[in-house]
Amino acid sequence: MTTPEQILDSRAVVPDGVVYRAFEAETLLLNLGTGSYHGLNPTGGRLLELLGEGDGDVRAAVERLAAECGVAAAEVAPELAEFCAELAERGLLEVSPK
Amino acid sequence: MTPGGARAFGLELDARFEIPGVEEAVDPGEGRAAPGVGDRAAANPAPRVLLELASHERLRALSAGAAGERIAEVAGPDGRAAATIDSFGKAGFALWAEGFGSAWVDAAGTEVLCAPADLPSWRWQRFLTGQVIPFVAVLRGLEAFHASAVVADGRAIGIVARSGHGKTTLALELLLRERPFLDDDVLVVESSAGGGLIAHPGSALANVREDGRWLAERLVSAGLGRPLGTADGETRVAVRRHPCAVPLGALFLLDRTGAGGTLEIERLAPVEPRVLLAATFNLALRSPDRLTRQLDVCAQIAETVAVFRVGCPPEVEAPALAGEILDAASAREAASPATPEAASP
Repeated sequence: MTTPEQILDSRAVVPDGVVYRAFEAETLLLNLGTGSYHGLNPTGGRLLELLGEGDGDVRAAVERLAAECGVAAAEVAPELAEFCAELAERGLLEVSPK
Repeated sequence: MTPGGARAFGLELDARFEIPGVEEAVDPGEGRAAPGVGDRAAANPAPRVLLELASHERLRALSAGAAGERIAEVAGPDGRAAATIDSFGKAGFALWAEGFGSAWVDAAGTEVLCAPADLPSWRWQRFLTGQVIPFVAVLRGLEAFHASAVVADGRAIGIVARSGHGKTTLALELLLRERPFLDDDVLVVESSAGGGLIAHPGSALANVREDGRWLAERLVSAGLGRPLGTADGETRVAVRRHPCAVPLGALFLLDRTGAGGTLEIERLAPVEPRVLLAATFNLALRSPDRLTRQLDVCAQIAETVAVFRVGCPPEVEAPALAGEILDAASAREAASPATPEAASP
């Protein structure tokens, strides 16, 4: 079982075969293999964007997101790590060691 | 349309048979984008599609020996299949509609072979212009919505609604108010290089239900339409159609349920993406390219197009609704700094 700390120290990327587009109130992830859509709230969508901008560095993305939201990274990191793990379970994110 | 070239649904149609009613859309040199719109048609030819008649035997031979997969089936009132689409992989697609006939589309969407039922051409071609050619447009990289559309202030106004909820009636009512007709039932759109979307003219044909015969008569009286024939409770009318692609300016999502309520038009902000995805035409084509394009176009609509929800009780007549829609579209236009030219690349 992967712990939140292990995920934070990982690299997470949106795999080939998954695309996402940001809408005003949500981000839609689309699995091109199954044709199924997954909706993310703006925070989740922003995390995906930050992962894309930061070469997939989960900890860096979480810290940037926390700063943008004006909260301490330590406060939200476990929840965001769990969010990454859930996306990975659904095949919407690829998490690998840095 | 006499045999030869025509342009509709963003495609260059090279038909080897007559398509009554489409001639109004043809004029060589027309069908190009409005100045400044950035339609690729202005600089490049649209995807070319060859349309030919063929025997049922020839169509059967094309799929013989190939494993077909049914990708779409629409049931009729008795529960049996009334229309189907079968995919034969790299060979192509077989489309069939009960009472209309069959068509074969090669996998690249460059050639259509039609084996029609023994019916007048204006009648079986409802299947051709309403299903087959829009299907080809999607195969060729365009995106399509279940919407009728007109042009107002240089922009397309699309009306999205379920079948029988008045898309056609409303579009024709707007045509009578001198808003040029763009399409009936299938609106083909395409991204422009400038980031907006352009809406392509459709086939210049509309199907008017029996209870709207007065509408067909008004169109004829106004010199805006010509009836081709009546069957199954509908009159097929060739109407004067806008000649060229224009920027997509507004979408009205029409809901005609809610008897006894009041007419409400509300601009959606934010726009619910699933509502747009559900309004796209032909959900059976699900290649990665198409799915990505579908999502892209919906994201562009949410970003660049005014989307309205229209709650309209059935007792509100089309003329009154048309007036309200024009008011909403005009108010949006007045509030927007963008002009059609500014929206172009």
